Amino acid sequence: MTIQMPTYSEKVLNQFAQKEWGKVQTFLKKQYTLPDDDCNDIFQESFIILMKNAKEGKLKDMTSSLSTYFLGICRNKARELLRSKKHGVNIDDDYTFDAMSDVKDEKINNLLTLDSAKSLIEQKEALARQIVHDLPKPCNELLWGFFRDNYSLQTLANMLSKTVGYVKVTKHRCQEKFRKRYGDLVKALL
Amino acid sequence: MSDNNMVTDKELQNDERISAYLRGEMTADEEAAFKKELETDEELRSQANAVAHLAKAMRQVGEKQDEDIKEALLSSDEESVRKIAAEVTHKAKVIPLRRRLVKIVSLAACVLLLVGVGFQYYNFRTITGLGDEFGSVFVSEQSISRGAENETVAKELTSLYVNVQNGKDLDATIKRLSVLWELSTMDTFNDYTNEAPYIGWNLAIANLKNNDKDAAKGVLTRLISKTEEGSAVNVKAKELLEKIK
Repeated sequence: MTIQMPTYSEKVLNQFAQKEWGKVQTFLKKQYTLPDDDCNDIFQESFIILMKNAKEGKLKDMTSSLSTYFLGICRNKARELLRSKKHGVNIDDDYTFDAMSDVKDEKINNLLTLDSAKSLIEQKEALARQIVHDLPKPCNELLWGFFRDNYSLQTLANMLSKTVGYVKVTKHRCQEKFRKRYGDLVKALL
Repeated sequence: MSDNNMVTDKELQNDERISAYLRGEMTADEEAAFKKELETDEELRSQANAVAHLAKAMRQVGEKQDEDIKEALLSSDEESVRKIAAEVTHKAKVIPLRRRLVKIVSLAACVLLLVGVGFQYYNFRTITGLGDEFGSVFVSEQSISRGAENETVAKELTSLYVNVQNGKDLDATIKRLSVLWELSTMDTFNDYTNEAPYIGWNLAIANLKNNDKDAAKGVLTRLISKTEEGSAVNVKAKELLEKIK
């Protein structure tokens, strides 16, 4: 019997789909109280749209993260569905896209100049990238959501079904864990 | 920095200010005050620097990941994409329980618990036993003979490997080996790069002896990808990974 191994592209898309499904499902149920079957259909259709948009070159001018962009597609599909069903839910009240402005490169660089040891910049950046690759839960969801997807604390709280207070404190602890780990690695490097 | 359990209001306020600064959301006065405070407040400076590193790393890694996904989308077709989405959503489907099943499930859970306790003990002995069995495979090869090249590194690694051999101070040893493992597998060459295979191997063994199968699997998987096909460490890592599975 021949077992067909997934291609690299399929693996990449599978990982992306798994990561996004949790967020999308929570959003659709919380915002629009949609049942499982509708959530499944919206997710699948949105994935197809994402692929088609990629092939049509629409992702080239994308300014947000791909995750935020995809969630936007899901939201639009949900609204379409609700309009077609003439659902009673107010589809204009949207908790989700309480998005913040993007982090500015210039500001990042200003704060990086505060580094007490200015040598080995490239190696330090590599260390930081390695750490963010392997963040444990819930730090990965919180920090990626906050710094990459630009979700507000309220949005993150809704997505994780937690309070804003919890998100603030947990995010802080996650940042401190990063700071400690980064510090340990840099010390070993110097 | 506050202790592990307490996060102060000041720390949370600092987070907000750092975020506001990075996003360009401060007024000119607020920004001036913030920059002045950075000059004198060491803790704020350290926090702000770390957050900047974090934000930059996420941007770099996130952009690369998004590019990979876009490439994957371009080379896919509708059928594959639909299949992937369907698999993910159907795996996550939740079937609601009915009340008449609750008693049966509770009874089954009790039986499973008893079986589970016995299995867990068996599992513990199996996993830690593998650590003992494979722990001494590279003892002579990994003895460091770097001469004067970097005595400090050599001494430390020797001490860590001995701890792994003896199953001593595993928590602290694993923590330190994890740091060195990351350093040794960086793209840029450093004092630990050449020691990566043995650092990784010892980290995997230490995790097994500490009954952390998943951590050991993670290290072994990465070790296999980082070592040359057919090399001694590569072969043994594959063998051990197979046994753990």
